[in-house]
Amino acid sequence: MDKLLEISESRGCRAEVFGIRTKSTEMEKTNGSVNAVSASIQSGVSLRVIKNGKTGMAYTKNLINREELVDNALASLEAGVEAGFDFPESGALEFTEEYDDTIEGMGFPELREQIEELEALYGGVTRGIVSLRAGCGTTEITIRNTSGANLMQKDSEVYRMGLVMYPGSSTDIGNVFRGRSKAVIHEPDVKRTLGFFRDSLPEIKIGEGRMKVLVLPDVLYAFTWRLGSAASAKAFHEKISPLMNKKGQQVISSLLSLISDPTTAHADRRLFDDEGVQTRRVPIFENGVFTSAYNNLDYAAKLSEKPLGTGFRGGMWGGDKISLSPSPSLSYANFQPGAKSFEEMLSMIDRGVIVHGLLGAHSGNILNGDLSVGLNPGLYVENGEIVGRVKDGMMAGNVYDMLSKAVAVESGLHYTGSVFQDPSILLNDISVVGA
Amino acid sequence: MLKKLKTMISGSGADYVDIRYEVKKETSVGMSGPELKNAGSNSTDGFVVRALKDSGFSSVTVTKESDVPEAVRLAVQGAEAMAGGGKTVSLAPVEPAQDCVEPDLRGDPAKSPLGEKIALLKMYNGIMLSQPEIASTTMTYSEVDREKFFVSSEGASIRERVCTVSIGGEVVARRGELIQNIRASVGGANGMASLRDRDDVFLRRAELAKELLDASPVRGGTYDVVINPDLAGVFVHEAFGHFSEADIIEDNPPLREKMSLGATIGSEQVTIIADSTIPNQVGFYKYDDEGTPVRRTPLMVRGVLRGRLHSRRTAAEFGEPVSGHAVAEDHRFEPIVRMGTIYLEKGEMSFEELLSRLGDGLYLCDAKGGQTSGENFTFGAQYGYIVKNGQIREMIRDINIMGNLFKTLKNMEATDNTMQLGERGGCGKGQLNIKSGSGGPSVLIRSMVIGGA
Repeated sequence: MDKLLEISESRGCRAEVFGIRTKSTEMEKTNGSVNAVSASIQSGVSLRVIKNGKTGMAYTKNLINREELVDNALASLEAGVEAGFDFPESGALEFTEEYDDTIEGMGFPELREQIEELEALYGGVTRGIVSLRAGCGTTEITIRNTSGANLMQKDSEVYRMGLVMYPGSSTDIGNVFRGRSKAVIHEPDVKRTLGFFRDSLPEIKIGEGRMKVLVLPDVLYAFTWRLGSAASAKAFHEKISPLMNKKGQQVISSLLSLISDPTTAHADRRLFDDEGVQTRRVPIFENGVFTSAYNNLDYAAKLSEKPLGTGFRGGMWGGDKISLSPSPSLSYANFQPGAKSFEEMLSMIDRGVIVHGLLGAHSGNILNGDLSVGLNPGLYVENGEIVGRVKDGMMAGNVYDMLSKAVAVESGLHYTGSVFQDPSILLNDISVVGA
Repeated sequence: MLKKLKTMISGSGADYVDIRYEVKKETSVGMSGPELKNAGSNSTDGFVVRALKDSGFSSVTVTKESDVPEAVRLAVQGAEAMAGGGKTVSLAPVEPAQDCVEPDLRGDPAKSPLGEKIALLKMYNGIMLSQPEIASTTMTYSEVDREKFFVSSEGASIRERVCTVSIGGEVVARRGELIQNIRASVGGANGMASLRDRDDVFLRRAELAKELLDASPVRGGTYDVVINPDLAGVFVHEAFGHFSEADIIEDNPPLREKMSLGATIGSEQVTIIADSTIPNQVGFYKYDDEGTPVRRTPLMVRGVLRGRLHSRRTAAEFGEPVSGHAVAEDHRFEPIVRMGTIYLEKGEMSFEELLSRLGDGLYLCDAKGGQTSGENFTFGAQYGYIVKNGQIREMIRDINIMGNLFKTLKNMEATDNTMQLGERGGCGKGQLNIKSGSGGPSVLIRSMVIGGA
């Protein structure tokens, strides 16, 4: 990487090198038989250069010819993409607190053991299909730039996932458990999920109506996508954000705070973003008030603001990090916990739906906040009791209106497969359509 | 390279092993509003090794050539781990092919300078930005040129190049606090010709975005609808197509039962074909990513299930013929069962006759994403119109459709006589597949659940 910086500087460029190496192993067992086993060892390098106010980028998976990579970056620079920013002076940091080296030694036999422990908990399911997964992996990210940044972070992860699928369908509900060294199973969560599953086996036609909706952590991403699309510095720069001129105003319920904080224990910690900017707590919505847009180096410069450490590589669909330029990202944002237990929230529902999964969260006018999605599943509740699951159900509205109707936020946080944990949120008076 | 790959997998100790090496050249140009955001060409490469041993099956992906021996060892080890109490895997027979395939391109993108690509993008972007009330755009020129080398221990030795280009993105209209957007795209798998002289497409998309500012949000409820060819394609892909991918249903006995070949699950009006052999379409290829030649596969004929999409593994599992649909996004992934080109066959009625038969309902146009979970599906429409007495009236927006596959297939009452295939693919079943093309005629469907704002 140093050699890449040297070559770039010799060509009159300021430069940044982003390197990533990942190793992962996964196993899946469905209906009592192992049905998928896979492993992956991937690496790659991305080079960004700045020269005469212009920027260029090049990347490769196999760094064999460094001169060629620099040539590609310079060719990209020729296109004339404006660079109003410079690479940050972030100093040196080697962060390995999220890394457990024993994970490197985990293989297929250990994953099988992890699954067998899950199997003991899900063994009582007699209807439907049980799919159990376990995986482990490591990620090493390195960022160096000509401003002196020399940053390295190494993470490890173990995860376990248990899913139960309703008979005759592909709709499932389940739990995810993750950790740096171990994926500790929280048995009450599993028991609750399996209880939900049993109670929601009957499909119910509910017609149309407005009712309470208890949004589980698994589906909050659909709300965060829409809020994030509007709160991005990109939308502000292009003057297309519905949050323009609303800084400091109450736009959603005062019960809700959406905070981007990669340094918190509720997330897989990151001490610098994918541009080498130190991460920090960035309140996007605090007690319902729109507090701050989030940016990356490029849009921070365009809006004459300070970079917030929210520049990450990746999009709505993930993607290969080395091939994607850093962009403003809410990858590490989560809703803050509230004051109610899940059971208290459930008892507040006279008639409503628990939304455990969504279909079509990426559809619709996301920037405008429109959310019209299939319930997959939606568990139908009467007087605090689950009585079945909604047949062909949808909920629809606009996230600003929907989140203004929050009446309770769960005190507990749960992993959902993302890098952070979220609570459940109870919304009132939401439009639900069913068969 | 093919010889080298053969050496790499020799002596693996597996009952079967294959290796795919792929070089993926991507050229991308991006614009946000009037600003150029990125432009450049880059290549990445990598290896995918799969092994079958004692009826266990496993795959490993690696970036570096030096890691290939480790990949072969891990793949065999994974297969052995699965063999001990796992699912019993076998591969349906395929005649090992030795072939070299170059695409038939009208204007090879590899020979077109980056400057032309930037100029095309800027021109179309400029057309949209110059329209009244258009606030911004996010537009991308995308070129993915994959050179794939496949070798198996059975003797297959195939090199195939597939090249996909597109110019597309989103145009945003704004009036006060109201923001509306429309997607715009052109492209295909037949080279630069599909991108040139397409001004009219982008102009019309910008006009539609502006018109949406005056449209009303649709009221949620159950409606009779006519969906246009783009939406029909997404319906066929999302609702039915995924359900005809064998891996989706293989571990679900009730769904396998429902999807038995010979079962009547649709109306007489429904004939659905998967055909990646149609030249110049975005879903075109000759061999899938396990060396099986793709074939035209009628999936449903007049409402009766006639075929299914398979990998070699699922074909053996189901005891059905291979179809050539094991496809990977790129060198980072093992192949899984994917659709290429899929379409609903057209009928004989004119569009006007179709609307007349609808009577009162909604005319819904152009897909805005979709998703499926078994028999349930949802997809968005970018815009639509209220229809009264067979006449198109006011424009509507914020439209999402939710449905059940079996119920909807029965409720498909008529199709018109014009068929269009989409120019841009995109499916996110675990991996991104840009070579998933779809299309159809306009279709009249009774009793669709519509979620409005």
